[in-house]
Amino acid sequence: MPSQESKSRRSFLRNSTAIATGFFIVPRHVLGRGYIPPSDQLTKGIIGVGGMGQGHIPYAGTRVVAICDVDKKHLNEVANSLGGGVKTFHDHIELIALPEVDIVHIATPPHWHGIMAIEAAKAGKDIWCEKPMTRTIGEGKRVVEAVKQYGRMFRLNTWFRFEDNFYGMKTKVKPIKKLVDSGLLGWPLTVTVSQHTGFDWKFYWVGKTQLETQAVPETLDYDRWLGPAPFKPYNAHRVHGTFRGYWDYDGGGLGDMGQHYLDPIQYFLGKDDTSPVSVEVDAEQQHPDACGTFRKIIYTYADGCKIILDGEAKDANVPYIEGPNGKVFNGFKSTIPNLEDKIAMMPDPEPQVTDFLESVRYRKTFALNESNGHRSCTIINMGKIALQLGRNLKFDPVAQVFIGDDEANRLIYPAMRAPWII
Amino acid sequence: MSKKFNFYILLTCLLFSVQAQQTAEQVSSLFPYQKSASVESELTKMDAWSAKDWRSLFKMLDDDSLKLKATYTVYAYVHHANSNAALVPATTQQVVNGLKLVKSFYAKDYLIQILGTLGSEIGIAPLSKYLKDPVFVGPAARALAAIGSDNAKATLSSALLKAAEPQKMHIKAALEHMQFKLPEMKSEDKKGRIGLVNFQDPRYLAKVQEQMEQAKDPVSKRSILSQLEKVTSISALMETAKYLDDPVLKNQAASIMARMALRDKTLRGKSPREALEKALPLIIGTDSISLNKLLKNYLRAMPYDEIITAVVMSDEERKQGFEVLFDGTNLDKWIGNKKGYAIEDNVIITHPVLGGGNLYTAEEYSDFEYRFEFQLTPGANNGLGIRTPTEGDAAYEGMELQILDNEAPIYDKLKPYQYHGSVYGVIPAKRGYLKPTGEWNEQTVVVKGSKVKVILNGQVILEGDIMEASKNGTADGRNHPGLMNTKGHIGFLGYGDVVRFRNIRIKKL
Repeated sequence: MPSQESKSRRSFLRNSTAIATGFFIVPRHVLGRGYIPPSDQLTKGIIGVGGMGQGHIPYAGTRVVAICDVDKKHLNEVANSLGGGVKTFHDHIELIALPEVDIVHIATPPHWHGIMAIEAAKAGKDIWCEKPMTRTIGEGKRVVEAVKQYGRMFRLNTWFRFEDNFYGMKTKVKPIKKLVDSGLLGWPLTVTVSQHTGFDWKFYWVGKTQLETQAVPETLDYDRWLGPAPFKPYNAHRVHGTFRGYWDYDGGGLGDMGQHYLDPIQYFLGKDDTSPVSVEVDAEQQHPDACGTFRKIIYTYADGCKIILDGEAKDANVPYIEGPNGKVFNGFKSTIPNLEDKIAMMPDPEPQVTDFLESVRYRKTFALNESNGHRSCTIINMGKIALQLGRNLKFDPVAQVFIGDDEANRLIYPAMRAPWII
Repeated sequence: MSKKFNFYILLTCLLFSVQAQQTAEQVSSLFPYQKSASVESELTKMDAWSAKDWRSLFKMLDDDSLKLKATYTVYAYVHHANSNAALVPATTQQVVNGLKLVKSFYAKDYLIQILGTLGSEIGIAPLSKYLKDPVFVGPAARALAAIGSDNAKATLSSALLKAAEPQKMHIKAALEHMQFKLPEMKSEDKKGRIGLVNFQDPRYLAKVQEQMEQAKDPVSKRSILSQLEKVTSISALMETAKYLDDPVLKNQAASIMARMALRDKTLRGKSPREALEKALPLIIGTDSISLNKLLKNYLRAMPYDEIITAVVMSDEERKQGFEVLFDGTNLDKWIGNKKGYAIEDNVIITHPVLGGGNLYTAEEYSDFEYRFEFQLTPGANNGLGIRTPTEGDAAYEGMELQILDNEAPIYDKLKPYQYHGSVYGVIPAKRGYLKPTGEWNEQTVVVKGSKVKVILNGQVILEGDIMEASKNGTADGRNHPGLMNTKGHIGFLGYGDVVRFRNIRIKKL
């Protein structure tokens, strides 16, 4: 529970009408535009400061007050680079309980995301979580439940639905959304994610199948690194830079890039509150431990919209979006004349909250939050299950369970390794 | 038994086991498969495998050089069995047997997990034995949780009673997991809308203003401002312009105003021009290049007009001597049914329910050029009376130029002189130049002596001489005394449908 002091500090931030004109020693204009003085800054604690975690340090101008890692080497490196003054932890529960942490950043491998997000929600923190949101659909449902129950603000660390050029499309997603909403392309639409439409599936994230047992490095608490994942003898390829190759922690290239590529599609197709009703797979047989690659994964929605993940990239001329009345290709090229001008004149889509600090300060749901993030993550997790089972599956988008396939349903909410539970 | 007999039995057994081993190794060489279809028949053959075949396969899991292929083979078969419920019990039994057979950590761990994947109750008893084992209690407990039945739960519960740490922790965790029910997911209600349906209702703007005053944070303000874009009127444009000075909203307001102007060309005039010019430099972001260019062109082409709020005519027309009959603000130059013909949002709209009768110009005209814009609703039927008295049926006592939604299915069998633009009953007009219902059409009517010309959306759809056309009787065979009139009023002849008119100007010839 937050202490009395922290509660009043955060209430000050929320209720104070003087948010933008707080009490300073130095006049605001002296500090320059865009600089938030420390007394106004929100703070963060980062769990997982290996690769991606270090990338979280500068986010949003918030101040790092605590870091946590189960590898002492990473922990000390980052503590030093921050020049001291941050608290360091081995145990994420201690970091989450710190009164001076406003936002918890979760930058561990995906198998920990669900547990940590819920802990943070229970402790009254807001959450900035790496993608993919959760390793399983069941964990995702739990996170959605907890974030709502505890009234927290949650965002994922992917952003293409509201900013930055969208890979090979070379444009932001907004014009794509406006074009789809205008109906100019017709309905339903098929979207193909392939090297030829500007998206790379990063198939180098494959696992190794004959891992020999190695000695656990002295600085790494391997048991804690595994956490809820089943025990498997240590090998360096399982952890740190290469964990993506193993189903126990992630899901290969699909797990890595899936949410970056799929979340904007879900957004512009207007499917934020539903899921596909079927997933078809064409791939080599998957190993139970090591992730492989895929040739095609095809998702179909109830209204006929399709998302095709193309790992083979055979068809160089495939459109990115194809509808009955029009097509859009790589680089946002289209057969529709004067497309840019036409789109400029269309009304803007519903405004989104794109600054997480606004989300936290005014308690307004962020553009990419626990609900729509869970839905785009579910697209990935459905695909992972279909790949592992080597067969096509049907899905109920309301109950979020597979239809007529017990084996697939057993993978929605598998039990975790004790003492971890969700 | 004789020694010879034993020897033969032994030999036979050896032969069988060697054969079984070959089968397992041969089959496993097909895995991992590249395409699932390629191993369908092999998997089906495995349905008929003997216990010996299975034992050979499982033994491979203990052998480092063979275990990879055996792993893939088992995995593929288990998925195959799971998609055919009848196969699951037998498969589970084989795996149970295999579990007794294998010795390595890898193999045991794997097969325990497989028992969970198969989900069959047959696995419960064998798994329960592992609940005492400090190495395998975790995987076994989780496999029981995967099986998920009441029996599995009962097994865990009773084992918990007798367990000591560390086994206790694992059994307890599995039981707790089985207790949890995942939350029911429902579709979210969409929140945050203003909740009014009719965007053209002037009260909508007032509501937006009210909400904006109450909004405390930038997120709410942006959301409310975006609602203004749904209204197309000068008032909405000018309301949005108020936010060009708001540091949070100015860029959004500028883009909204640009799009409003580009979508509705009637948003013209002195104030809109000034507001749009102020907005121009504030347009930033994704569409800014296009919007900037389009708006600049628009402003360049926008005519400068006088005191009137809604722009009715161009500079050209003013110079040529056109006179405004309706500018959007009043019906001073009109007489007749001002209840059934009302002004709303700067246009004349017919209100069939409110009262019958026509609307006429106060003045009479003989030769003239009459320009106006009209907008039809589906199936609409109205008419433009020309040189007509204010009493009687204008189509006969004067002339009527038909106003009609030509494409409505109910009108597909009319006579040619009954369609839009026709001198009703006398001269037919060309069809196919009306814009879809809901869009504004521009029409010019030139009447000089007995010559009538109708130009619709830039296209001449009628050019005729009413004396010529009627000298041997009218097309509809009826008497049209009004064709002889040399002057009269111009009127809108309502027939009970909603039609809108605007920008009406006339030049005497």
